[in-house]
Amino acid sequence: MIEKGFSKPTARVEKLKRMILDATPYVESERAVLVTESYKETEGLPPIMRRAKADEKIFNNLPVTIRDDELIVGAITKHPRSTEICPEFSYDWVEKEFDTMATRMADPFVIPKETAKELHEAFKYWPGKTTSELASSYMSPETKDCQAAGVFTVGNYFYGGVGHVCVDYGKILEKGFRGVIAEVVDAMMKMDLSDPSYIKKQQFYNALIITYNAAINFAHRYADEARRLAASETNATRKAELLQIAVNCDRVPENGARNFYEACQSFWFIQSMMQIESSGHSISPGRFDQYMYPYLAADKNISKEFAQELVDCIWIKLNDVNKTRDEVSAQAFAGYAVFQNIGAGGQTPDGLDATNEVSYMMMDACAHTKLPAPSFSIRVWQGTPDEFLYRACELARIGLGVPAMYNDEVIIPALENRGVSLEDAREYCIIGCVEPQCPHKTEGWHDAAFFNVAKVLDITIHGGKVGDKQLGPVVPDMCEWKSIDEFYDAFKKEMAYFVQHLAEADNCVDLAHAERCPLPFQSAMVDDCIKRGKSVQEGGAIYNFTGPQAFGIADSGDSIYAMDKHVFKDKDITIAQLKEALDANYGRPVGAKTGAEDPCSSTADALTEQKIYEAVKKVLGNSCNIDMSDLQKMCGVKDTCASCSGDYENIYRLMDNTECFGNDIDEVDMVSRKIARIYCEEVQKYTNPRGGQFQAGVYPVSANVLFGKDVGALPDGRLAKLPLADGVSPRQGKDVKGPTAALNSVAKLDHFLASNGTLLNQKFLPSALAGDTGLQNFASVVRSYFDHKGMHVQFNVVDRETLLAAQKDPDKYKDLVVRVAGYSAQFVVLAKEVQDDIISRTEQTF
Amino acid sequence: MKACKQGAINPNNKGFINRDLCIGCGECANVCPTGALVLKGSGMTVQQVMLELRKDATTYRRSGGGITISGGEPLVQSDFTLELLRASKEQGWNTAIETTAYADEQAIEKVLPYVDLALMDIKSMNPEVHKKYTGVSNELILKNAVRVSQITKTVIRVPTIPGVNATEEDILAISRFAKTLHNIKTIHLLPYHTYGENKYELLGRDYLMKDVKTLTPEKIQALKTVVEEQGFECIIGG
Repeated sequence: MIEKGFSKPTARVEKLKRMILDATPYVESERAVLVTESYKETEGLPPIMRRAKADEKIFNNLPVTIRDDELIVGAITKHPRSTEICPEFSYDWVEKEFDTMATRMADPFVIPKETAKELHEAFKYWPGKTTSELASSYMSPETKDCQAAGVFTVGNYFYGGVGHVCVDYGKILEKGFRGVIAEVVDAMMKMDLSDPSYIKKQQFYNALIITYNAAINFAHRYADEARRLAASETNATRKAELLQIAVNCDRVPENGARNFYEACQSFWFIQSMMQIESSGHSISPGRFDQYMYPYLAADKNISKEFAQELVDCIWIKLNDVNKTRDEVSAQAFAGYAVFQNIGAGGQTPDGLDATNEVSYMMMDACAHTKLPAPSFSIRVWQGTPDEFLYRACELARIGLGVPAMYNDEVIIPALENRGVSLEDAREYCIIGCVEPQCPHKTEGWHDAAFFNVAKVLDITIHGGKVGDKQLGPVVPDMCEWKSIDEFYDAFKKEMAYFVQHLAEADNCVDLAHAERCPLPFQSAMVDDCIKRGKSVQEGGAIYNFTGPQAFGIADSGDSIYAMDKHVFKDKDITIAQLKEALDANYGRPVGAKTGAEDPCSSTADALTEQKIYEAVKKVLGNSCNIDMSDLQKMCGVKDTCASCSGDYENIYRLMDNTECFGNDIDEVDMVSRKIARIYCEEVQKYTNPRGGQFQAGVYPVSANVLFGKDVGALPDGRLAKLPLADGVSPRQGKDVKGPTAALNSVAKLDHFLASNGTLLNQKFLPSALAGDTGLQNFASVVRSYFDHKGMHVQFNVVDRETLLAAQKDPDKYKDLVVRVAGYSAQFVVLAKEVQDDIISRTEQTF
Repeated sequence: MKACKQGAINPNNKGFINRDLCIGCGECANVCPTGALVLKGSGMTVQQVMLELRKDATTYRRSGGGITISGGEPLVQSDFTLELLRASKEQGWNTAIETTAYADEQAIEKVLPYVDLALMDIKSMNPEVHKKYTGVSNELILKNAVRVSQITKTVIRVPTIPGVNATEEDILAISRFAKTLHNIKTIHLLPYHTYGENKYELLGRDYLMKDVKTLTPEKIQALKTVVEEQGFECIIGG
C-alpha cells in the first residue's frame, strides 16, 4: 500500500511561512560595519588572524534577533529574508546600486538611507584590499578578454565568497564547539617545532581558538535574549518556549547535543553562522538524515509531531537566508536563491541502504512548507526501497520541483575516478545545484565558472574571431573545411585555448581567496584542516577540485550534426552558403525594435531584460529547475518572423528541420556526447593551487539564457541571441518522442566524466503520476534512466497555468506530453476543446 | 499545389485536399513550408519496428510492462502481428493486444498464443444494434471471445456510448456473457469522449456524433455498479 498525500503543517509553521512570504528583503549594514572596524584594528596581522578577529567581532556584536513563534533561533539579519554585506570580497557594485536596488527588477532589496550611509563609510576602507581586486590583478589581459566576450565567466566566486561546502555537522552535534577547541589544542601540542611549517600552523590554530570562543558566545547571547523576552512575555506557552530556547542555547552548540531539539538548534547555529562568516552561497547541509537520525532515535521523550514541527521550523529558517548580488548576476540567479542543498537516502559507507525515519520527515517538511528552500534531493541506488522512491514521486507530484534525484550508481564511480575513496564516495552529498562531493572533506569549488560551449562553436565558425577581433587561435576559415574532421580540428584548438584561460581565471580567484580571505569558522569543520594546520582556502581539505560547468551542449551537438549531414554528407548546401546564412542570421533581423514580441533586442532593452529576469526568477525558484518553454515565452522570443529574406529561408528550414538530440537517435545523440567529452577531457588536464584537479560539470543554473545573447546564429537553426539549451537537456521543444526517448538521449552523454554534476529537467502532468500505477510508472522511469547511467533528474509537474500558456503558444510547448484517455499525447496537437477538458481536469486531480 | 501530381490539392476546396484523388504519396507534406501538412504513418518491417521498441526495453523491465499492439484491428494484419509478437516474446517482453476479435478463427488461433493479455472489445450483445452501429453482426465476435479467453488472460472492454449501449440493461447483458467466458476477472468501461473529433476535421470528414453528449459521472457509476454486482472488477477508462 503506497502512502498518499501529506499531512498538514501546524498553525505555528503556517504563521512562520507567512512571515517569510510577506517579508520585504532589506540590506543591513551591521556586519559590514563590524568587519571594517575589525580590519582597521588588525593592520599588520597575518590574514588568518585578521579573519578570526573579524569573526570574533561579528559574533560578539551582530544584533541578536529572535522572531515571533520561532522554536529554532539564530538570525543573520534583523529583518527576515534580508542580507548582510561582505565588502572584503567586493563592494563597489553595492555602492552603485544604493539608489536603485530597491526598484531594480531582479531581486530588489530595500536599502534605507541610514544603512546606505553606514555602508558608504565602511566601503571607504576597502579599495585595494578585496579578493576581487587581487584576483583581477593576477589575470592576463587575454583571460579578461575571454570573459568580456562571453566565452566564460567566473563571476560567482569573484564577487563574493566561495561557499559550496558541506561541513561536519555531525562532529559539532557530537562534541560541540568545545570539542573543536580541544581538537585544536591537541593539534597544537603535537606540532613539531623543528619544522618551520609550524609557524603558519600556529597562527591558524590560534585563529580557530579565537573564532570558536566567540562562536560559543554567539549562542549564549541568544540564550540571554530569550530570557529577556521571556521575562516580559505574557503568554504562558510562549514564555515556556522562550525559556526552553534559552536552555538550549546555553547548552548547544557549545557542547554536544543531548536530545533531538538540541540537535536541531545546534544544526541551525552552524548553518547560519557559516553564512555570517562569508557571503558564499550553496552552504549545503548535505545528508541531514544521516547525522540527525541518531538524536531522534535516542530521544525517548519527544513526540513524532513535535519532532516534525522542529524539522519544519528548520525548513522555514533555511528560507530566512538571503543574498544580494550585482544587478546582472541577480538576473542570473534571480529569486533570492542561495541553493542550500539538503538530501536524504542513499548508501552507508559500507554499502547498505541508509534510508531512515528522518529521510521521510524531510519530505513531509517540504510538503508542509512549500517554500523555495531548501533544495531537497534524494539519492537512488539499486537497493533504494520502493516505498522511499514512491514517496519521493508523491512529493514531486505536488509540483514544487523537488526532490531532485541522484544516481549513486553513476556518481560513486565518477567520484572514485577522481581519487575519492570508496567509503568517502559512498558518503557523497550534493552541493548547491547538482554537484556531488564527499561531505566535510572536500573543497570542491563547484560552480567555478560558466563555460559557453556554443560560443566556442560560434568562434570556431569565425576562424577564432569575435567580430573583427582575433580572440582565439587562428584556424582555417570555415569555408575551407572539406570535411567534418577539419571542423573538429579547429574546434579542439579553440577549446584548448579557452579552457586554458578558464583555468587561469579560476586559479587567480582561488589564489585571491587563499591570500585575503581564509575562513577559520568553516575550516575547523572540514577535514583535514586542523590536522594539516591550514584553512580550506589554502588547501586544508582532503579532496580539492575546481568545477567549471558547461552549457550549450545540445546546441553545439545539433549544429555539428546538421552541418555534417547537410554540407558534407547529403551536400544539400555548400559550406559557403551555410556561413553566409549564419552571418545573416538566416535573413532575420537582429536587435531590431519591432515591439514587445521582438526576438533579439540588444542588452539595453529593458523590456527584454524584464522578461529574461522574470523567466530566470521562476527557474531558480524551482531549485535550478529550468522550464525552457516558460523561459522562451517570457523572453517573448519567436523563431519565426514576419519578414525574412528568401534564400536564407530555405536554408533555415533545412537546418531547423534536422533531427535533434533528445529523440533517442544514436547518430544525433553521439555528436552531443562527443562535444561534451571534448570539453570534459580538456578541463581535467588542469590543476588548482590547492593541489586538486579540475573536473567538468554540465549545467547552467540560468546562464544559458543570458549567455545566449553572446552567441550568433548556429547551424542547428537557432537564431542569434536566443537562449541556449540548459544543461544536458535537449534544446527546448526538440524532444518530441516522449520522456523515455529524451531520457535515453541524455543518458548517452558521459555523465561519469562530468563528475562536477549534470542537470536534466523533465515535465509531467499530475495525472500521469496519479494513483498507484502512476507512481509506480514514474518510479520505473527514474530507475530506467539511472540504469542507462544518467546522473540526475528533476521533475516539473505541470500546472494549469502552463497548460493555458501552451494553448496560447503551442510552438513553445511541443515537448509537453499529457495523459488523455488511456493514452498520452502531445498537448499542443490536441483540439482546443480537448485541451480545455484536460485543463479543467488538472484541477480535480488531487 | 505543384507537388501534387494527382491534382488533389485545391485552395478553394474546404479542407484543401480532395480525398478521392489523394494517394497518400506525401509529396505535399515534403514541401509544405509551415509544416501544416503532415503525412502520418509509414510502412515498416518487423525488424524496423523492433529497433524502435528495443529503445524502451529497460523501462519494460523496470515497470513490468511491455508492448501493446493496437489499431485499427491488428488481426486484419495477422501475419505481421504474429511476427511482431513472436519477436517480442523472444526478447522476453510482456505482450498485449487490443482487438475486436472480428477476425477469422485461424487468425485467432495463430496469434493469441503469443499474447499475454488480450483487451477485447464487446460493444453490444444485441445483433441488430451491433449491426446498425458497426456494420457487422456480433456473432463471430462472441464466438471468438470464447476462444480468446481460453487461450490467454483476457479483459473485456466496452466502449460505453450514449444511445448505443450505455444502459444498465446492455451492460448487464455483456457482464452476464463475460461470466460464461473462461476466467475473466476485469471489465473496462470506456466512456464515450470527444477527443477523436479533431481527427475527422483534419481528414476533411464530417463528424456524425456532434450532438451526442458524454456520460455524467453518476451514470458511469451506475453502470460500474452493474458490472461489479456480477462479480467483476470494473475499471473506468481502462
